Amino acid sequence: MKVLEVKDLHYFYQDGTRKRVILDKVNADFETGKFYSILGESGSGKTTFLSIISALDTPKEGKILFRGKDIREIGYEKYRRNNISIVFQNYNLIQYMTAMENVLTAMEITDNEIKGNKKKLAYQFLEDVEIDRETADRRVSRLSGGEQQRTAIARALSTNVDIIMADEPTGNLDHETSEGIIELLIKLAHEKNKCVIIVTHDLNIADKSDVVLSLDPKARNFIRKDNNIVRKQVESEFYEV
Amino acid sequence: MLKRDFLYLKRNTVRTLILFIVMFILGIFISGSVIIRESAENVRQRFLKKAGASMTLSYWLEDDISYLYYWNSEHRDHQGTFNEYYEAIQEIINDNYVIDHTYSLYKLGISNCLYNQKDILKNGFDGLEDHNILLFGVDMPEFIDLQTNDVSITTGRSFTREEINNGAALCIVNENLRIYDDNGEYREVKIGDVITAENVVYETDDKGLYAINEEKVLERKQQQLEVIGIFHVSTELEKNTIYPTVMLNRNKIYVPNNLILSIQQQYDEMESQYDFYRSEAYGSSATTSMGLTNIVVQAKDTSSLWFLSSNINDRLQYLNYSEYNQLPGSSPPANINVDKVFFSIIRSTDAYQNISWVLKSLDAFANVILYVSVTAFVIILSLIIYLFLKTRKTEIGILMSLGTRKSTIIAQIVLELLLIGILAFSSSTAIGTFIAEPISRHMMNETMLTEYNSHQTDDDGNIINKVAGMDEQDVMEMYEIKVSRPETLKILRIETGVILVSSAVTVFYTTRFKPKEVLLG
Repeated sequence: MKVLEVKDLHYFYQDGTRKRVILDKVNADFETGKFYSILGESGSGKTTFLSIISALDTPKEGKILFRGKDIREIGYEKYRRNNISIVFQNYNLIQYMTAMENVLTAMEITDNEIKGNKKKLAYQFLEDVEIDRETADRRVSRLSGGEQQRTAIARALSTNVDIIMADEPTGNLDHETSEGIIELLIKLAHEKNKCVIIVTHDLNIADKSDVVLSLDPKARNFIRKDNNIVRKQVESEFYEV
Repeated sequence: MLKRDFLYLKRNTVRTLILFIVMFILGIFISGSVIIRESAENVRQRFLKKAGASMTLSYWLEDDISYLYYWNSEHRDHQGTFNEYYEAIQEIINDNYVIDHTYSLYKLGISNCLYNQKDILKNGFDGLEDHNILLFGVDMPEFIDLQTNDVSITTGRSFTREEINNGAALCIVNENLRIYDDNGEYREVKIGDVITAENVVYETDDKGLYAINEEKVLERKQQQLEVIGIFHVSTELEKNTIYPTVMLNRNKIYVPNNLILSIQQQYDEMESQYDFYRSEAYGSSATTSMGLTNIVVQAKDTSSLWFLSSNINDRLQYLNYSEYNQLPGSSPPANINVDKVFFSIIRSTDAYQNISWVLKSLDAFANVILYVSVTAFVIILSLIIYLFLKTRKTEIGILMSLGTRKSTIIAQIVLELLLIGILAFSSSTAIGTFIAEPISRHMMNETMLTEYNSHQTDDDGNIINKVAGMDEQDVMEMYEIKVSRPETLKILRIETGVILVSSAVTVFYTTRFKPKEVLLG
C-alpha cells in the first residue's frame, strides 16, 4: 500500500552565486510492509533526500505526499509527530534520560493513540528490541552503541507510525551488532507492516532490501532496483569493486 | 512538559545550580530595592494619614504685633477687619471640601479679678493676663484641647451640642481658679458656682488715664456663667515653655463660641457709645476686641486640602497689610515659614515636605539598585541561557525530529527557568528583606538626624512643627520593613519579567534552529 510519494523533487545548495544541484526531478513511491534502501556514495544526496522526506528540510521544488496529501498541508511538525519516525546514525537520544524515558518522551509527544500504560509499553518496546528492564533504566550515556541504536528503534516504534526512516543506522556499529539492527528493521517492515526507508552506502544492507533506490550522481536521480538480485549491476554502476 | 522539566533540572544539577545562584543574587538585589522603595512609600502614606488632611489657619490681627500697632497709631477699624476675616472664615468652613472644623473665639480683658495678687505671686504666675478673665470659646463638646489631651475635665462635664449651639451661659474652669463666694470666702471653684464676667467703662482724668474706681464707672455690663466642669492642664503642657502662655492662664474659662459672640455684641454697643479709641475721653478695662484662635479645618482628603488652602490664600491675601511689615519687632512667630504675613495656613501635609526628600533619596537609591540590577541580570541571564542552549542543541533537535512544536520547546525551557526562579526568588526575598532592613534604616536615620531636625526646629532648637506633631522618632517608627502580599507580588512580577525578557534569547535561538544540521550533520 502506497504510503509516501515523492514527486519531482528538486533540491540544490546555493554556494554564493553558484547553484549546486543535489536532487533533480526525483520521483519515488514507498509502500508499507517493505524495506527500502537509498543507496549512494558520499555526497550523492541520499541524506538530503532523507532530510526532505522526513520534513527536517524543505524541497526547492516538488512535493512529498503522505497517503496522497502534501506534507506541507499536513504541517511539517505534525507530520513528524504523527506519521514518521527517524533513526539516526549517531542515535540522537536525550542523554540525561534513561532508555525508557527516551521512548516515553516520544510517546508523550505524538498525537497518535497509544492504548495502555505508556510506561509499561515503553518497557515492552524496549524488550522487543532486546533491551532488558535493567538496561532500560540506565541513562543512555551509559549504554553501548548497539543498545543506544536499539533504544532509538524502540523510540521509533513506540509512536505507532507507518514510516520509519533511518540514516546509516549501523554506521557507528560493529558488524555483528549491525546485522542484528538490520534484521530488526527488516522484521519491522515485514512483520509489523511498516515502511522502512534506510539510507546507506552498505551493499550488504542493500542486498537485504526489498527495493533499492540508487542515486545516480550524474543524473541526480534514482535508479530503482527491485530486490537484491541487481547487486552486481549496482556495483558496476556506482562502486569500484 | 513539567515532568520533563523536573527531569532536566534534577539530572543537570550543575547547570541548575548555576542558574539558581544567578537568580538568587538577582532576587536579593531586586527584593531589597523593591522593599526599600515600598517601605519609603509606606512611610509617606502613614505620615500623610497620621498628619491627616487638616490645616490650621492663624490670624494675628489680635496678636501682640497688631496690638502694639493698634495702640501706637491712629485709630483704624480694627474690629471691622476682624469681622471681614471672621466672615471669610464662616464661608470657608461651610465649603463642600470641609468635613469638620473647629475654632475658638476668645475674649481677653473681661474685667473682674478672680485671683488675688498674693496667690499669683506665690504660684509664680507670670501675670501676663493678670487679673483679666480669658473667655475661650468652643464649638464642640469634645473641644480641641480635650482631643489633644492638653486639658482634661477632672470634675463635672463638657458642654452638650445643644448648649454650644444655643450659646448657653455655662463654663468650664481651671482647677486652680479661686473665687470669693457670697460670704466673702476665698476658695476653690465648685460645680454649680456662678462666675460673673463684666465689661466696665470708666471715666478718665484730664491726662486720659483711668483708675478702677467704682465712682468713675460709666457703664457696666455683666454676664453670669455657671460652672459645669473643672479642668486640669496636662503636666506635659505645663513643662512646655514655648506653648502659648494663654493655655496656662488660670483665668482661662471655656464657654460656647456663641456666648462670646453675644458678649462681644455688648462690647460693640459700648464701644460705639464711648469711642474707646479716643483714650483722652474714656478708658475701658475691656482692652481688646474679640479674637479668634487658630482654626482647624478638616478637609475631605489631601487633594481637597490643597485646593481649599489655595482658595483661602487667594481670599485672605489682602489681610497682609504692608504697613504691618514695617513695624519694629513685628517678625512673625517662629513656626511660620512665610515671612511677614498676618494670616497663615499650615497644612498637615506641609511637614511632609521635610521628610519627602529623605524618602526621595531613599527611593532614588533603591531605584538605581533596581534598574542597574535588572539590566545587568537580563544581560547575564541571557548569556547563560544562550550558552546552555548551545549545549542543548541535540536535545532541541531530537524534540523537533519527534515533532514537538517550537513553541512547546520554548515554553519548556522558560518553564524550567521559572521553576528555578521560584526556588531562587523565594529564598532571596527573605535574604533581601534581611539585608534591606539595616541598610535602609541606617540611611533613614542618618538623613533624619541631619536634615529632618533642621527643618523641624527654629534657631533655638525648639520643635516647631505642631501641625503634624511628629518628630524624627515618629517617622522612624513608621519606617517598617515588611514583606506583605502586594510587595511580594511586585517582586515576583519584576523577577518573572527579568526571566521572561532574558528568555527572548530562547525564542530567538529556537525559531532559527535547524534540526537537520544538528541531527543529520
